Amino acid sequence: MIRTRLRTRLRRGRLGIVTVLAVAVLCTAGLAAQGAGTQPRPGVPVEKPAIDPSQEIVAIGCLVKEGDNYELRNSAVLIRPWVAPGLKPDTVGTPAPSPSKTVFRLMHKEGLDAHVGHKVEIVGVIQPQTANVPPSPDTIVRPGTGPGTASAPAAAGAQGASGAQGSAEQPRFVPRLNNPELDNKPLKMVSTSCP
Amino acid sequence: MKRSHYLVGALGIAALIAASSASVTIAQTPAPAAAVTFHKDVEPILQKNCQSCHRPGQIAPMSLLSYQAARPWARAMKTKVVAREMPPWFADPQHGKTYSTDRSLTQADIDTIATWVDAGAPEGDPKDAPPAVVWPKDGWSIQPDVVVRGPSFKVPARPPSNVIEWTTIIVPTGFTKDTWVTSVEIKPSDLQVTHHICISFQPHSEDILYYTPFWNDKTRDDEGVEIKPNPATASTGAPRINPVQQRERSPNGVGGAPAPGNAAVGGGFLCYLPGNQAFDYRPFGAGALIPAGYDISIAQHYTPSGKEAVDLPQIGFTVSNTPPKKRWVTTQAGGAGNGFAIPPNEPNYLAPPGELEFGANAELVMMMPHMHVRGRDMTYTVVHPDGRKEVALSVPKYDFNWQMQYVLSNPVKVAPGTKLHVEAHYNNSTTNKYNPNPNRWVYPGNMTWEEMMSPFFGVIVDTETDPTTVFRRGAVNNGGGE
Repeated sequence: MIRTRLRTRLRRGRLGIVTVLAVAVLCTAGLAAQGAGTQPRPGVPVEKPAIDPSQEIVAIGCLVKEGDNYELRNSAVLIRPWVAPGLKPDTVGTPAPSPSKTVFRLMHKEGLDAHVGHKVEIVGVIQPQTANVPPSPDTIVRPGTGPGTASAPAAAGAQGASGAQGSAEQPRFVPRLNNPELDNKPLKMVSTSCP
Repeated sequence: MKRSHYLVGALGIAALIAASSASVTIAQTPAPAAAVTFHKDVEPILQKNCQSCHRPGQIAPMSLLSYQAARPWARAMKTKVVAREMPPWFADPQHGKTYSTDRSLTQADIDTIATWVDAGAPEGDPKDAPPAVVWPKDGWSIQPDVVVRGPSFKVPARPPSNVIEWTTIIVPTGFTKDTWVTSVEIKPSDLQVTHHICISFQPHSEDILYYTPFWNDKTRDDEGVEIKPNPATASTGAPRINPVQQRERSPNGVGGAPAPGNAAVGGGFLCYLPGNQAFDYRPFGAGALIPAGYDISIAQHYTPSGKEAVDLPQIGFTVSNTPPKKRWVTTQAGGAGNGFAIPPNEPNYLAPPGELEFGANAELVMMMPHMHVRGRDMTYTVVHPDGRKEVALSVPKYDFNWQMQYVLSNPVKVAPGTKLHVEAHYNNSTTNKYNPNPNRWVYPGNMTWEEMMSPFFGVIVDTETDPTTVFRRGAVNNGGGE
C-alpha cells in the first residue's frame, strides 16, 4: 500500500526533490558511519590511552629546496620518551638532540622559502612509513653511497649467489631506502648558516 | 604464515561462534549451593591461566575478564580446554623441566570448567569472586615505566605477490643516561598485520639515518619465494649472508641480530612474535644495560590483510635505578646455516643442528623456538663439559601461531665449555596442514612460506661478567637464515 503510493507519487513527480535528496544524504551518512568503524562520534568522549607517548619529534637541520619540495637535511633528532607518572621526568636522562644525516621531506611549505639555507628547528609528526614504493633514484641505494657504506655492496648480486633461473649478473636484491616525511609545524630559525 | 594464521583463526572463530550460538540455549538457572560456579571456581582459573591473553588489547579474540564477557563463550571454553588446545602449551613434560610460563591447565581445572558448563554455566554469588587482577593498562603485559614510540608503518592492502619485505628502521632511544632496564615489551597496535617486530640496540653513529626504512627488493618467483641457488649448489655451501655480514653491508649499519659486542645491550635481540610475551628479567633479579645515546634498530615484518592498515608500535621498559645483580642476555644457537634445504614431500627433515659454546658461567633461563609453517619440532639439549646431556626443552609439536617463551622454573647452570645443541625437524609433506606447497624445495628465507631455524634463548650472568665473553662466537653454527 505504502509502496504503491510512493511509486505513484514518484511517477507523478510529486515527491519533492528535497525529500529525495534527504534520503540520499541519510543513506550516504549511514554508509559513511558504517565505514567509520571506531571513529569518534560527536559528543562522545574518547577515552585517552593511559600510556600515550608523544608522536612529535624535534628535528634540527639545514633547510634545502629541491625543485618545489623542501627537505631538512643532516637533522639532529630529539624525542621525548613517555615516563610513567610518579617517576622523575629525567628517569632516562634529559632529552637532547641526537645528530644524524636524516633527510626529512617536509609536508607544509608555508614560510619555508625565507629560510632556505638556514639551520632551523622543526617540530612535527613523522608520517607512517612503507617499504612498498616504486624504485626511483631517491630510493635505490647506489653502491658506495649513503652513510656507513664503506663496505656497501654493489646492488647486483650483492649476496653472492645468483638466482637459479637467472644469470650471474642478475641481482638477487636491490637495497632500498625511503626518506621519511614530516608533518611539520612552523619552524624556528637557529642560525643563518648551515655547517 | 598469515594465510595459515588466518585460516586457523577463521576456523577457530567460526567454531567459537558456532559453539557460543549453541551455548545461548544453556539454561540460566541459579546454581545449587555446592555447585560449581563462575565466581567461586572458574574465575580463579581464568585469572591464573587465561586472562593474560583474554583481555582487551591482547592477542585473544575475546575477553574473559568478567562473567558477562565469558558467559557467551562457555561451550567453546569447554571444547577447547577438554581438547587441551587452550591454553596453548607445547613443551614435552617427560624431560622433568617445569616452566614459569606454563599456563596449561591441570586435569582438575579442566574438570571444573567442564562441570561448570554442563551445569548451565551459572554465575554464582559475586561475593565468592577472587579479587580482580589489576592488569597493566592499554593491553600491555608489563606496566612500563618508560615507553618509546617505534616508527609507524603503513601496510598496503594488496602489494605485489602479497609480499612486504622486511624493513629496518633506526630510532633514537631518547635515553641520554645509562639506564638499566628490567623488562622490555614490544607492542604493535595492529596484531592482525604484524608478523614480527624485532629490536636490538646499537651505538649511535652520527651518519645514521633515523626513521628511514631500509629494505631489499628481492627477486621472487610467482609464489613470492625468494629465488635461491639450486639444491645442489645450496648443499655444497653456496655463499649465504649471515646477520652480522648483512649489518656490515647495509647502508644504514642495520641488520637482524646485534653485532657481537652489543649482544647484551638492552637484553640482546628481542622480538614480538605471535603468542609471545614480554621479556621480563625481574623474576631473576636481572636487568640489561642500555648505554646513554644508543639507538634502537627495529626490524619490522608485516603481512598484508587485504585492507590497508597502519601499525603504531611502542616499546615499553621497566627500569631500575640501581644495577641489578644479574645481567640478561638473549641470543640464538645458530640458525638455518649452510646446507639447509628441505626436499619436496619430505615429512621429517633434520636441519643442520645449531650449536653454541658458553665461555662463562651462566644460567639458562629462557628458550623460544622460532621456525615457520613447516617447522615440526625443536629440542634444546645442554651438553655439559663432562659429556652429560640435559634436555632443557623439547617442543614435539611446534605451532607457528604460538611462539612462546619457555622460562625455566629452575634455571640450568652452565659452565665454560658447556654447549647448547639444538635440533629441529621440518615437515614439507601433505601431512602438514599448514604447508603451502609440498612439491618444492624450501630454503631459509624471510617469508613464512620460506623457512627459518632460530633457537632463541636467554641466559643470566653476574653483572660483573663481560657480556662479550658469555658465548664463544667462533663455535656458533650460524650461517644465516635469521
